[in-house]
Amino acid sequence: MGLRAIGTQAVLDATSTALGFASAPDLGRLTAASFRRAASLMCPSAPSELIGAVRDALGQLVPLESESLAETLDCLVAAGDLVETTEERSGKRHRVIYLGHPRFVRRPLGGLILFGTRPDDAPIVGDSLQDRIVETGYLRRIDEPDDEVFASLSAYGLYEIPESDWTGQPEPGPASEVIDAYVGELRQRSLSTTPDTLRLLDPEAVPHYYRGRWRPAAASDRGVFIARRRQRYGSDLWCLIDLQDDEQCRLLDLPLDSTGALRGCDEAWRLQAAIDFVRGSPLELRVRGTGQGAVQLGLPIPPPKWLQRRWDLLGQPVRVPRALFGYEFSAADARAEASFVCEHLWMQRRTERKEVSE
Amino acid sequence: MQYGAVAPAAESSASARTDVAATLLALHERLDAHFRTLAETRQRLPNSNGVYAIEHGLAQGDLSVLDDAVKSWIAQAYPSQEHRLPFVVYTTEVGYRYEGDEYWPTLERRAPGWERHVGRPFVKSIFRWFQRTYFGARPQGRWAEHRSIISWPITHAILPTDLQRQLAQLLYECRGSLTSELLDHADQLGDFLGAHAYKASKRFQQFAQNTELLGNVAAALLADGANTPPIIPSALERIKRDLSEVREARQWLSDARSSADRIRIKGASRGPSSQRRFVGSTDGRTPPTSPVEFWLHPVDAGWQLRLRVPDFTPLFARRRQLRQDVAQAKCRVVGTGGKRRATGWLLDYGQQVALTAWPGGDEPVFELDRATPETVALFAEEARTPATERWLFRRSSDDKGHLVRSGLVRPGAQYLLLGPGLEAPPVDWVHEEPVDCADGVVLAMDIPQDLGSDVSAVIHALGCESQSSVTFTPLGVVPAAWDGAGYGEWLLGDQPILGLSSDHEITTFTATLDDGEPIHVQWEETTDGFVALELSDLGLGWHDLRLSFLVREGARPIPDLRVGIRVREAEAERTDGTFRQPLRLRVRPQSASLEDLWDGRSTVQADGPYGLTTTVTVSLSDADASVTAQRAFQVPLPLTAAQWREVFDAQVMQQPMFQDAYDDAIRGQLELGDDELGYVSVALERELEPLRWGFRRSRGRTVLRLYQSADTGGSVKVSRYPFRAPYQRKPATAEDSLGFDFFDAEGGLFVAQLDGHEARAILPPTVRDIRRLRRVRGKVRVGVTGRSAALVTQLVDLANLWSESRCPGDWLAHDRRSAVDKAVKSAIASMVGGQAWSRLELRYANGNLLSIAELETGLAKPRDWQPYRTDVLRLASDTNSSLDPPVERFAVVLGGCLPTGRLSELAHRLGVGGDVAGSRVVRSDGSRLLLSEVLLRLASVPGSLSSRSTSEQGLDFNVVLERPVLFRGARMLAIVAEQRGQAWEWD
Repeated sequence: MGLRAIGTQAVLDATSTALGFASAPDLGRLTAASFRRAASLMCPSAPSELIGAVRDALGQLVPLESESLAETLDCLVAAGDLVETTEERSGKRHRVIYLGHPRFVRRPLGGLILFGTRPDDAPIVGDSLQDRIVETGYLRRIDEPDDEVFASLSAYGLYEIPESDWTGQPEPGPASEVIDAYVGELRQRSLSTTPDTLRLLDPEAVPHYYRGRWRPAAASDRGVFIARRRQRYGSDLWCLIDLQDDEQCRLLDLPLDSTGALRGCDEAWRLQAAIDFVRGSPLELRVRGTGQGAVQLGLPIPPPKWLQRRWDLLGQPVRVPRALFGYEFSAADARAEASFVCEHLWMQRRTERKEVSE
Repeated sequence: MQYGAVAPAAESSASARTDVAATLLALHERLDAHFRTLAETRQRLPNSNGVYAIEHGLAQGDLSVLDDAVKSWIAQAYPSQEHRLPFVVYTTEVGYRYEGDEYWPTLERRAPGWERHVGRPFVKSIFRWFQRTYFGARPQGRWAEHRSIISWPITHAILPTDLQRQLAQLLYECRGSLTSELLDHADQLGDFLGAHAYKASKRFQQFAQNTELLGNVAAALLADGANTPPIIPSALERIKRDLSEVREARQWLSDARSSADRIRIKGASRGPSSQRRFVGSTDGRTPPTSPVEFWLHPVDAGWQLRLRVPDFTPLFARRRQLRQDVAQAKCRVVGTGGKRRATGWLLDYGQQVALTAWPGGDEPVFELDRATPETVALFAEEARTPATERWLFRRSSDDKGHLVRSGLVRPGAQYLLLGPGLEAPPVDWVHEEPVDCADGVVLAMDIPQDLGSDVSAVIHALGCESQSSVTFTPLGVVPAAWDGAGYGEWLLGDQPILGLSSDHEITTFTATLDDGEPIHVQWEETTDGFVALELSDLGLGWHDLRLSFLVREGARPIPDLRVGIRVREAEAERTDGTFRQPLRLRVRPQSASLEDLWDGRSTVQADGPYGLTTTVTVSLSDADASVTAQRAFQVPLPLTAAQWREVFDAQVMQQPMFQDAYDDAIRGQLELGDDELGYVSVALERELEPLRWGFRRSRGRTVLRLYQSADTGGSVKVSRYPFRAPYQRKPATAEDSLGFDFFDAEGGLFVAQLDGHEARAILPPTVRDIRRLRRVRGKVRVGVTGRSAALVTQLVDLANLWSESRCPGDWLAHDRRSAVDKAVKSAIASMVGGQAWSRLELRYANGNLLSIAELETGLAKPRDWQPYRTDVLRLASDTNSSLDPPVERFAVVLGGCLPTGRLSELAHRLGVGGDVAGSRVVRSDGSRLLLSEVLLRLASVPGSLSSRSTSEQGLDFNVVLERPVLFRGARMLAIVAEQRGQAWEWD
């Protein structure tokens, strides 16, 4: 038993070791591992509580932004490490985070992705597989698994999910139909007083700067918006809102999906992509060749869960300049994925440097 | 020629036999010397379990010779006493390979002729001899009682192959909580593993009850070679070798050993921890269980005080049999109005309980019922409410109030203060908020940023303290719990780091952990605006960090600070889910068997996010582990126990596939979930019963099949009790030559008995048309002549005989059992209640509805027992009665008509007054309640008073016969409840 005063670097080193890293991790890996530990000890929990715990633990050691912490948490939920549900208490909706069960899915090009979080910070796999795990940001994968790996996964209680069951995606269709479906639901809601803690995703703002599009609602705002309702206690709630005169509004909480497969943000991001397309300012997908045979695709918005899962399987999360989220693919996959995202999110391709030849 | 041809063969055979005998004799002598030496050594060891036959020390080649010799011998003759030891070793080796239900077939297959030449009793006799001669181990437990023969070779195999895998898995699952103390002390390791083995198969749990042996074997498997093994090294090596041949088990064991090696190097410890008292501890003892988590939850009526049932596994590791004791106990939770929870409820950790009344400070949270006095006292100490008179909660971003154990508030933060009789002080940052908790008041506090003396005075007056000078924050890894001020929890193996920051003029501070040397830190040397204190190698339990500050001359002094730190074990994972996961399957009791599930004696609940649907998959598998029936269906979440029963009946019980597969199934599995929410599952094993009945369809009829797994050597006797005369016992014979299947077109209760074991089942009558149906549903007659306590006892036992029998999911079987139950109750009531009351019983038995006024006239003669009649009438007229029997309220009525001394005397005479707490028949404590409960049970479920299924002395019903008016009151209440459709739920 010992007690000593240590410096900031020593705290960081001790934290890296405690979170299971052999060497100092980058910020993405550090925050993802820290979220998994926090969740393993605190769930069921509100997202804001988890974000607060990670910020308290790491905030004095590394530069952290609340927005990026929230995005990392969203990524962990989309990736299946955590599960988000919406629950009602005293007439209010609350987002609640639980632990995702440990499981894995095979990648089409070989290798597999592990996801899930065990209670009380227990490692997802035992000693024999720990060294095989390759971490990129929030993603944990095992490359070139052999029979021994699959047998070990089974011994450690991880079960396989078929790729097709894991990704699941909406049927492609015209953007206007998607908007009509939501607006139709919205019109059926009765009028109520406009909440005062509303932040809107401004359709007028530059579409490629996602974080900059968020602003508080103004008294002069009229029309249909994607919005987040801030709660004094509790995490932000996603909604579609129709702002009218005299501080009246119609409000539709997201998600509409009642199967639990989608989060409010998954529906909101897709709907905003449809709105931007119909308004004539579609979101831009940045396509960037690496010069080494690979192609990077960059999104101006966070990916909905179904897209993130699909790209987790096919690509590699990377930082793409001037994009909020990015993945790197083989040239062949990049072509297919660019088409896929343009079809499902009505995006427009913007090629930088050298796009792979069609 | 013929004879001449035979003679040389016979000679040859005799010669061969002589050779075999010589080999067996040589082996016997060698083994005799070996076991005698071993016995001498073992007898000198304290608490030794004795010698195990698997410790024979023979090499593989020797074993092959022994194998051949035994097989050759028993193909021709009965073994000789001179060479019994090779047979002990041989049968033990078969036991070592035992994997379920096939010991005898395996033995016969490996040594053809065993059944014919040797027989089963021989096995028991040689092991008994071995036990006497060589200080041999004795089989123990319930399993050994009805497997009185094969329990010997299997016990002497120590860890048969099928249990090895489970031990490896247990070691793997517990590896995160291993400590150097556990690794160094096999007895503690055994207790620890034994407490965690509750999820394993029943046979493994049986093995794990011998915690000493479990600890010794586990220590040896995890050993680095330094320990002295408890059994001979060759036997241990063999287990290790066999474990390594199964990939899964090898992996588990390898990981567990790696963890053990790391602990030996690093030295994770169970202690020493601080013996100092911190908030939540009342006597300096360090409870192994984490403090009960309390929080304020927002509901429509205001704030609601809630608690979460903690995981008591660390406590169970400290005392053997504690888990079993708690599994049979009921309990009450403080602040919940005395509501008694179901048997074994306390084992279901993680569940939330809403407290409806202020529980008080430093009170036991759980009050156990039907547990030993030691267990009751232990739990009263183990889990207590916070010791203060008012509790502080930090209002967090999830709209809840989390308990601040240190009682410290910080500037700018929001808090809730809960306690009795609180009054909001006249400041604008404190106001009262509604609370759904009797006698509790909640004050909401929005602590100002500037903690001036006036603010601090208000905080102090409210019973809290402020912390403004120095701020603590856990740095690096997120702690298991942190109250935001001065109390935190970490997991065993964590190295907590606390960051201190302050805007005060500190020059130096000292920090002291527990009883260690203080460290001195110069504040000027700090960078980044904080000082990080790393606490390393903390043992399990409570630790105390104390800080003292030296400030610049003239600056405001900073009072000493303390941080309470608790290090706890990581909770082991559960296949049925934990409260941290979105899905959870809760089966009660936790030890429920497949029969319990099928016969409705266990409850199942599916917890999950409200409004979602998921999939339930139910499967049965046979002895070969082949799935014999499986069905998946969608259910909405969450699913209550009643909803589960309804769904399970429709989707599983009524499916022919399951009806056909059930009787041969030895295992059932319930799985809940989908790819998104994950999967949780529960496995239910067939009860290890020596005798059991199964129902199967044969030629369009329901037939009873008798399953016998006892190897006591005795023969089974089967009797039948007809529905029309349910007390008449008649011998029954099987309709097939093997003696398995029993049938009677009239149906009835079939009872099979074998050497003290008994199995009962109700066969429905066979019905092919309406006329026949009308006939079989004829009146049930229970003729009683006379009036005596002995007759009441007979009828109570008869009620128990029928009510505790297996019944198929056939409405006619249930209908007939119900008819018998009613007839027996009516007979008891008519006999005890007297002539006038029996007329009412007759009318009730004939299907007439009895009004409360009619029943009241039968209570006593007009104008007799007037206050009693009035009280009973009032109780019967209360339509708001719940499903719970009105034991307490009827006791008040009895108390109104009998003096306390008289009540005590009657209770004592009933025969259980002296030992109420330990009684399995009557649950109530105190004579006032006891008489009430006995009367109400006799009036509603008389079979529950039977001592047939317990070893207790029966009740003396003379007490009831002497005061029939008291019984009539109870019976009136029971009839009124039945007529309202309010079936009382007893245990």
